[in-house]
Amino acid sequence: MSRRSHPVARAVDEISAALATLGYRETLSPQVEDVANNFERLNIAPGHPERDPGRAFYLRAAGLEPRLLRTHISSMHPRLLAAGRPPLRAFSAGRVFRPESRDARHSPVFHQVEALRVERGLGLADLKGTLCALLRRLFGRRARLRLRPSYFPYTAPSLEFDVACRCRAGCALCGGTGWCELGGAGLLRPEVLRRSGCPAGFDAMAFAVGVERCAMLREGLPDIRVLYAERQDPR
Amino acid sequence: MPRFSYSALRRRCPGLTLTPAQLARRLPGWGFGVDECRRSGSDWVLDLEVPYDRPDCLSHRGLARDLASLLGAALAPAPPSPAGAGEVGSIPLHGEGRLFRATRLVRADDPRPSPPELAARLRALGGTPFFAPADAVQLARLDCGAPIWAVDADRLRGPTLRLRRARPGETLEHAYGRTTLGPDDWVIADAAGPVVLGSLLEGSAFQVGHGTRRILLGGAALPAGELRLCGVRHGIAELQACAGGADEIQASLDEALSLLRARAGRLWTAGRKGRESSCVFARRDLERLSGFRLDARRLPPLLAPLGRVSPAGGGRLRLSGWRPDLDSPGALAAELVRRLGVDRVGARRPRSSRRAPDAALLPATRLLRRLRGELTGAGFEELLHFDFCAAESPEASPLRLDGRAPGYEGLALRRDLLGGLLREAAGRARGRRFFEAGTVYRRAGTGVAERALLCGLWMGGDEAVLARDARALLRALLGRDPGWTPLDPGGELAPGLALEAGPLPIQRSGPAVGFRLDLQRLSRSGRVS
Repeated sequence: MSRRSHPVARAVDEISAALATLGYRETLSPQVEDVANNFERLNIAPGHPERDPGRAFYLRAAGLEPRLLRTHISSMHPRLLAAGRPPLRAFSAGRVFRPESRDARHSPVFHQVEALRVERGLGLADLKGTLCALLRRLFGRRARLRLRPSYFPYTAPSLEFDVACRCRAGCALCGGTGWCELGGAGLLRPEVLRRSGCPAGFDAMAFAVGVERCAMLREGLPDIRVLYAERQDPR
Repeated sequence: MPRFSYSALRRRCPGLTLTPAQLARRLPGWGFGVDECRRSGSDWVLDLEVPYDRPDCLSHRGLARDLASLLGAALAPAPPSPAGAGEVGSIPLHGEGRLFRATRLVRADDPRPSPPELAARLRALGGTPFFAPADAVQLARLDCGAPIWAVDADRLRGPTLRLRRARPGETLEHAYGRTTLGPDDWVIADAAGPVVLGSLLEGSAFQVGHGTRRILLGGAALPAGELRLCGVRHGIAELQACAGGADEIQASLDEALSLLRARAGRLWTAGRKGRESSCVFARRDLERLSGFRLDARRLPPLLAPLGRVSPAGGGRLRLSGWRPDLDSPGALAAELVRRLGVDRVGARRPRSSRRAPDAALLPATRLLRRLRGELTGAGFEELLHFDFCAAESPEASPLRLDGRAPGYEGLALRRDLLGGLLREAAGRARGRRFFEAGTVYRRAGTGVAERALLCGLWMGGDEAVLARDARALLRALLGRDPGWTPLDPGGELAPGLALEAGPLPIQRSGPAVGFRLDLQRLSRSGRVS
């Protein structure tokens, strides 16, 4: 790696700059979250497989309130909706943690940038317009984008978005499909807004960008493991 | 990932005219990720990612039904249920009154290997051929997606079975080993204990084998989420890829029976078949959420495959039993987008902000960006560590992972970045200046305090020169003298301090100096932001 800033740091800077030009303000969000913000207020009910102890890093300490390392940066939504006065546009960047095994495309620690916009009358057309504007700023006007219907418990409709891979014959990054998944998006469900104390009549849209994927695509890196210092996994 | 046979989909949906390759290209647009589409003998196998809210599509029957509704194609009529001959009898499955359950007692021939084409079909879908009765149940399960099971009826202890939660201390020996059951697990039990886990995984002692005279086929409509969680808990993939209501269970039992071509007793059923659900919506909400114009003429034909709508322009949609997920206007809008094509949603461009981009960032982020630029300009290399936890003593770090994530037992959240940076730098052949920005964690009352730190390291050369250069650089960066005290690489930045710098213990590659900066505290002080 050259003596420059880290590719992940550069990607975070560029995504942040692109969001800033679209009117979003940065906000702080903690990495150690309470269970309610990470799951309950986002419609991830007890019994959901995502809450399984093998799928999240829960903390254990005498006298400590139930906490875990956030499994997604969407845990910032309940905090922002409860504290902020809509209309608002905010984003947050940082690490998220999931006990996954490491391979070319996955890591137990990775970075996400998540944005939230709360206004009256928002719809899928606004979300699509914002995603297109953001991804064109990041990957150039000629970038080919693909949106796919998806499912997240806290959004409906939900989407995932892909960018065309640079490879021509298939690579480890795109898994031979020609498309590289960058993140998820959706319109927040009314019950999530209600549970977080958002005033009635407002709609919210949210999207998250996977920073490592973004950095790998921009720098042409085939394996997420080269982004991290070479020291052994702590396990 | 569930695997689907293209020919099985075609058999259930004859109107599916897309080739396997065309289908694989279209499926992502309908919300199904395609991991692989490959040839298997004369058939094609599709390896798909099915979204969490669509357990109805975990089987050929369900996916074919969804494809038929998306393509406007007809489904093949259901084959008539194999008639019961009557003389084989029945074994009832009692228990939880609300949940649908069914059993069918079958006279068994001497178990023999499955015909080659049946074995090949099973292998292509990820199953392992065993012998005819077991293979028939596996195939029926994959085809219809319902949790069904088959046991040797003469090994059961008692005349009836019961669907219930597992009791403390109960265990079940099955094909994957012995499982200790918990109070959240559903079991089918006889008078002496559990026989089947989650209406799917038979106990080894009850498996159909040579000498089996009567096979009891059965199924129970357990909640899909509970079944999936049971699979996660015990690491059993089959439990995570199965869900189904009363119709699916009956269809699975019929399918298994027709594959067995055996004589059977009557179908025994109990419990509710399911409740009809509905979704109340306003047409204007659907238009806003989906981004499509949906006039009174366009909407009813779009909703027709999903249930009965009244009145035509909006109101209430009484949902078909297989789409209980469409429980809100948002979910209904998502379904309309899936049907009309997400690529055809118009994009409303957001207005650009006139504010300077930097003004939207937090002061600590602005400070980090500036310091990062200056440090890389001064020849520093930025590192990023994968580890967020380390093997530390409970006294040093009370913030320990609870150890239920496999492989992370006994580890604690990191308190500092400098130690890791030092170890990483020592292992590198080239490079003498490194820095890392990241979060460290500390216990604060009943919660956890996080600090955004920037730590740096110089290595090698003469100690006095290193110290002089380091202090000069930090003075230039921060606009003040950083102070100079020996640093402990196993320690942490004291809670009251914003920065510290000084020599580190002599390393194998020579002297080293380092610094720790608290970005939030420094940016708040206003002197370096």
